[in-house]
Parts: sequence; structure tokens; C-alpha cells
Amino acid sequence: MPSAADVAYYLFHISELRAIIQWKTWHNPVHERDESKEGPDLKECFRFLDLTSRSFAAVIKELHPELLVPTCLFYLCLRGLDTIEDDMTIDIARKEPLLRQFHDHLEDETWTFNENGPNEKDRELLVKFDCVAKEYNKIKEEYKVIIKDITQRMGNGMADYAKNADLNANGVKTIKDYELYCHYVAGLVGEGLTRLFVEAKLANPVLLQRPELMESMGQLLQQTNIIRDIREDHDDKRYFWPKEVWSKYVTKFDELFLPENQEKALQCSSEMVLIALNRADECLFYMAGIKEQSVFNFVAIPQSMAMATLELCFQNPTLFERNIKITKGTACQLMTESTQNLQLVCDVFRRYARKIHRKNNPSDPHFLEISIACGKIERFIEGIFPTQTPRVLPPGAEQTVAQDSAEEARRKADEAEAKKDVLYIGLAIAVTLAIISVVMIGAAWFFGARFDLAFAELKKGNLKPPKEPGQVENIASAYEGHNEL
Amino acid sequence: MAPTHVLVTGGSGFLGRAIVKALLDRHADWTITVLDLHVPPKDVLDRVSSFIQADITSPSSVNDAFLHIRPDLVMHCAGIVPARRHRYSTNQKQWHKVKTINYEGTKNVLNATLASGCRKFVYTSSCTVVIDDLAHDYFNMNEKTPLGYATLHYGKSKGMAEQYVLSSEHAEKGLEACALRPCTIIGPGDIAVISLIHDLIAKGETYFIIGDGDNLYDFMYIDNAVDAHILAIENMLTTATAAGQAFFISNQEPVYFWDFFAYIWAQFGHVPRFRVRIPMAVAWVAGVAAEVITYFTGAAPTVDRGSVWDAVRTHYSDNSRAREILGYEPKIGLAEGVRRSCEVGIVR
Repeated sequence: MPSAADVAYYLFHISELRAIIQWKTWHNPVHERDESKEGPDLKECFRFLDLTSRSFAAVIKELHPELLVPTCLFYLCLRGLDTIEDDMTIDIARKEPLLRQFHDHLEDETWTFNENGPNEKDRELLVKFDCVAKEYNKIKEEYKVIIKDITQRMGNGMADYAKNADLNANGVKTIKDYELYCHYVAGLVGEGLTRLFVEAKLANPVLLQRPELMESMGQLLQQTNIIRDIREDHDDKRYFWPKEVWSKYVTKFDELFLPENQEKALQCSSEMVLIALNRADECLFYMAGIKEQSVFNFVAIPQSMAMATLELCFQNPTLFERNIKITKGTACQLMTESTQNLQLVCDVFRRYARKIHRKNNPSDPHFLEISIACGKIERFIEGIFPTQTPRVLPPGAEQTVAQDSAEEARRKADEAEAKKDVLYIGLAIAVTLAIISVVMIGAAWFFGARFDLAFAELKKGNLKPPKEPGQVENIASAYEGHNEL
Repeated sequence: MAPTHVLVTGGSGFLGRAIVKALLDRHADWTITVLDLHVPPKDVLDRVSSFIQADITSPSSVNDAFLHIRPDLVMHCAGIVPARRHRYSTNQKQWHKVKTINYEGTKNVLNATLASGCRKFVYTSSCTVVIDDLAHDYFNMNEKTPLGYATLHYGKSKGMAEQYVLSSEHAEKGLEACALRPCTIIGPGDIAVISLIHDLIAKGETYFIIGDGDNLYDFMYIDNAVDAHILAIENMLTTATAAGQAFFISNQEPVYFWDFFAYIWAQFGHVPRFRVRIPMAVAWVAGVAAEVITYFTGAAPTVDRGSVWDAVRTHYSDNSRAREILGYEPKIGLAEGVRRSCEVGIVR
């Protein structure tokens, strides 16, 4: 039930309410699950999906039937890894082999894990991981290979980070390390999903030859989350903002949260947003390579949400006070726009790029770099959807070669002179005709022509002279005012 | 083998002297001659093989200059860039002056080049051959974008000159020529962009934005422009794959026009307390009013109809051809370029 505060909010934000209603009533999934055909293990997998992913569950369930189950399983495997990695109650000596060997358990229908701390919210997934393995063994071999490979690489990456004592104590050092971390937790997901899409023939295989594109898809999402979660992570004593960035503004990370450092904190967050923003045009490039609607929806919705979240975090002091997120109305509008076509998604990206550009602060040391990053997004969009307005030359506009000024001047002078001549001749003719007309009419009137009678008769409809001679006299008499006897 | 001999016209100017210095640094064994109306700065004059003083608007002056030299290549970047109040001029006397230098002067230099037996020519044209058409926006313009719509003096004169240089008539005589079309160049000591924008601070004209402020512009840092010219010179002296072609060059970082202004002001410690967005139509009327006032008082205003049109439109170029044929890549980012340009202070 909506609270009184919600009612008040939506009364003053009618457009958001409209967006929510529109999404609820008008959205038609491209594909829908047929739950009647699912076995108990698969039903359980989807229950875990709902449990562990509030944001992704809906779009995964709308995927093409070919990808529905493999993607769901892929998500759950990675969530399983993440649950182990996130758990601070598990000792590193125990955690490392768990992460590195996790991929071996995918086919083991007897393996489960009961050692997560009681507060680890997704622990149930691992307690009943056997049902995931059962479903994993049922999918196509090609999909299994992909899921296993990514799980192995991600597990190794996470293990490397988990045992990095310096990282855990002091956080990420360089931007390169930061992006490497994002690669392991998100870039690999992008790669895995891309390979699944291509294997299912729902995306352009060329995407596999552009690893930087799928990498950017993961990076933008992960970096956005890291930026947005700064307060929450700090409270949990986790540090993902690279020291290379924040050390320019404060000497200790904690100082970003002090009120007196608000300006420096905003400059620091601006630089973080800039790093993420530089990935946006590659994300659009990637989405241009998706061929199937449900897959497009699946990749476009999170990217649009990320752009909106970046804009929300940009130059926003509240970022350092509490968790912030886009409003539900905005989310619904983005989902509506992101489930149509690439052009609408480009419009979303352009809109948020311009919002960021307008919020930009000239005092910020990265002011122009941010402006350039937004311009890069606009330029990319312009390359695939050229602007068509009266102010743009139409395609195929004729080239008019610039000419020597002397010839040009002569030609223009000739044209002007010719035009003038025509004008003068016309004028002369008109004046002459006017004079002649006036003279002739004047002379006729002088000699007694009765134009007044002629006009009066014409008005009556008598267009010809009367045939009887006597009629002429009658007409004249009618206007004399008296009759002759 | 005799050392390569390159003659640079306009070698005393903002771009020209930077090109000369780069040639001296990168090709120390080459013979570099500067031809200009003005004497180059001392640090350039001391290093070049020779300096020839000549007026390119005078055929006899240019022909005399070429009597005793036979360069392997002529780098022609001499010209006038009408700036500030002359940028949007519609005055016929001004047009005649700009045309005489930029178009007639180029003809004189090219004709003398051919007469001397030299068959290689690099011409510094300008993106204004396209964009001095205030009625249109140009997104991702490239070398296929038609010429001939430019109406401002500078773009029109450069377009005419470029057509002359690249014409098939000269190619048939064995001339190998190319033209570079730099977008607006910024750099230390520039008097046409940075200093003009800086002056708005003192005038108190930093608190408004004309239009919605979302229009994009292209700029480039001078070192990148120099790189492009060196690459073109090297290409013409080797494979000559660039012959007969024009190339757009920029920093490939289109930026919001009004953000560019704000960033320059910030480099000098000025941040407007507020900025008002003025609708284009209102600004246009203000431009007309300013022109009327100027007509009677003779003062030089910042705003006129030309500058209003310019301030609300978008243009940026696609450098694919320069990248493919010349191997051009901008090395200095635009933001870094602005910081370097502002560090040296303002030149008037």
C-alpha cells in the first residue's frame, strides 16, 4: 500500500506517476516463461533468481527461451561466487580454494555449502546449490562451457583480490587496478553474456571481436554502482575508489565525508563519474550489435539506469551522506524507453549527457574533460542517427565551387542590371498605359458620355443595348426625375 | 645528395613559426627558408637557413623571392585571419583586403612555385571553408561535405584559394598538392581565441548563454596542428598519397561551446556567479541593436548578428581521412591544451 508520503510525492510529480502506470499497463514482455513446463529444480532456480536479484530477475525472465535458462544459471553461479567472496566471516585460507574451485562444483549435483555467516543474505542459494547443478547439467554443452570458463576466471580473480591484504586494508590504489577489479566482477560477466548471445545467434558475432565493447558494458555498470555505494561501502569498511583519484583531494579517504570538505569530495566524485562516462559511447556501440528484442531489452535497461544514476550522483553532496537512487517513476520511464529500439536508448544517453553537462561546475578541475566526455557521446550518436533539421545540409547537397571574385562580381552586376532593366520597362509600360487611359476617359466624359447611366444599367444585368429605338429614350427619362407630357 | 629544402610562407605567424620550429627540431638536416612580410622572432630567425622578406599580394615581390631558390616543397600558411570585430564583417573593403591576401596571395605563391620548378605544395586551408556558413549546422563534417556555402570573408577566401591549389588544371602540370583544414586553433600566445574570451571577463560579459547551450564546437591545440602539417609535408616528399586531397584536422574532442568559455575563464580564476540563458531570438534582436549602435558610435561590440548565429550552432569534423592517409592522431588533449595556453598569460 502506498504511504501518505508517497501519495503526496506523486501528487506533485504527476509525470512520474504517469510513467509508472504506463509501464505497468502497457509493457508486453517479448517472451514469457511457461512455468507449467518447468521441473521443481528449475522452479527453485527462478525462485533464487527473484530472491537474489531484484533488478535483473524481471528482464532475465523475458529473455528468448533459448537463453532463459542458461542466463538464469549463469547469474546464479556468479551470485554464488559473490556470496562466498562477500562473506567476511569466512577465513581467507578457507575462502581462496572455494573461489578457485567453484567452477568444478557446477556439474556436481551433490555439492552444497553451509558455512556462510547467518547474516549473509543470499546464503540459501549455496545451501541448496545442488538444484542449480542439476539444471546446469541439462543445458547445451556450448552454454556449459561458457558458464564454466567465466566462473573459473572470475573465481580466480576474486581469490586474488580476497587474499590481497593491502587491498582489503587500504582499498584500490590505481585507476588501472580499479578497472581491473571491475573487469573481474563485471567485465567478465559482459563477456560471458556476449558469448551466450552469440552462441544463441541473437547477437552479431562481430561483438566477440571487439572485446573493449563488452568490457565497457560491464565497467559502466560496476563503476556506477561503486560510485553510488560510496557511503554504504565506507560504513562496511570497504574501499573501491582508487587512491590515485581521492588522494588528489584528501589525505585520508575518511575525510571525503567531512562537511568542510564537501567541495573537494564533489570534485573527487566528478572524476569518478568522468572515468565511467568515457565508457558510454562504447556501450551504445555494443547495443547496436544486438539483433533480438528481448536481448536488447536485457542489455539496454541496466545501461540506461546506469546513465541516470551517474547523473544523479554527479555534483550531488547527498552521495556522501546516504545511499541515493533514481526514483521509481524515472526507472519506469527508462524501462519503457529502453525496451523499444536503439534510437530511443540513444536519446536517453544524450538526454543524461546534457543533464550532466548542465550541472558541470567550471571550478571543477575536470570540468572540460567531463564536457568532452559528454560531447563524445553526442558525437557517437550523431554518427549513427544523423540530425535532420532545416539547419543541416540535406544529403547530396550540390557543391557550388567558390569562384573568382571578379567574375562573380561581374556576374552579379550583370544580373542586378538585367533585373533593374526589367523593372524599369515594366514600370514605364504601366505608367504609359495609365496616362492614356486617364486621357481617353476624361475626353469621353467631357464630350458627354453618360458613364453613370452605363454602370447603373450594368448593375441591373442589362448587358446589351435595347433593340427598340424608343427604349433608349425611356431609360434616359427614368433618371431625369420628371416625365414629359 | 642535396639536403631537402622546404620553404615556409608565413613563417613568422602564430602557426607558421610553430611549424618552422618543428621542422628544425625534427629534420635538422633540412634547409628551411622562411618567406614572410614580417621578420620572424629571433629564436626562429637565428636557426633558419634564410629569411626572405616579400609581400605575397604582389606578384613581382613573390617572383623575385623565388629567383634564387628552388625548394623541394613549399609550405604555404601565409594569410590573414580576420578576428574580433572583423570576423563577421560584411564590409566590401574588408572583403577585398581578405581576398587579396588569402586568395590572390595564394595564387601568386603557387604560380611562383610552379615557375621555379618546384612541384610539391602543402596549403593551410581552414575548416571555415565549410563552416563559415552561419545558416547551417555541420555534424561530423568530412571531406565530402560540399563547399560553396561559406559567406563570411575568411571561409570564402580560403575556399577559393583551396579550390585553386587542388584544381585538376595544376595536377595536370605535375603539381602534387594537399590542403589541411584545421579547426579553430588555440595555443600559447594566440590572439584570436583565448585572449578574446579572456577579455569578456573585464567586459563583464560572462553571465549569459545564448540559446540552450547544448551546441558543440571543435577546437584544436596548436601542437596537434603542427603535427598534422609535418605529417603532410613528409607525405608529399615521400609517397605523396595525400596529393590532390583536403584533410579536416581537429582535436577530435568536440566540446560544448559555452563550457569551453567557462573553462578558460576558470583558468584565470573567474567563475560567473550565475548564468542566464538568453533565447536565440532575443539575442538576435540585441545583435541588430548592437550593430545600429556601432554604426553611429564606431565602437566595437562583442555581439552582432554574426556572433549570435555562431554561438548557437554546432560544427565538428570527422578526421578519418587524415588518420588513414597521414597517420594523424592528436597527441595533446584539448583540456590539457587549454591549460597550457592559459598558463603563459594573455597576449594582445
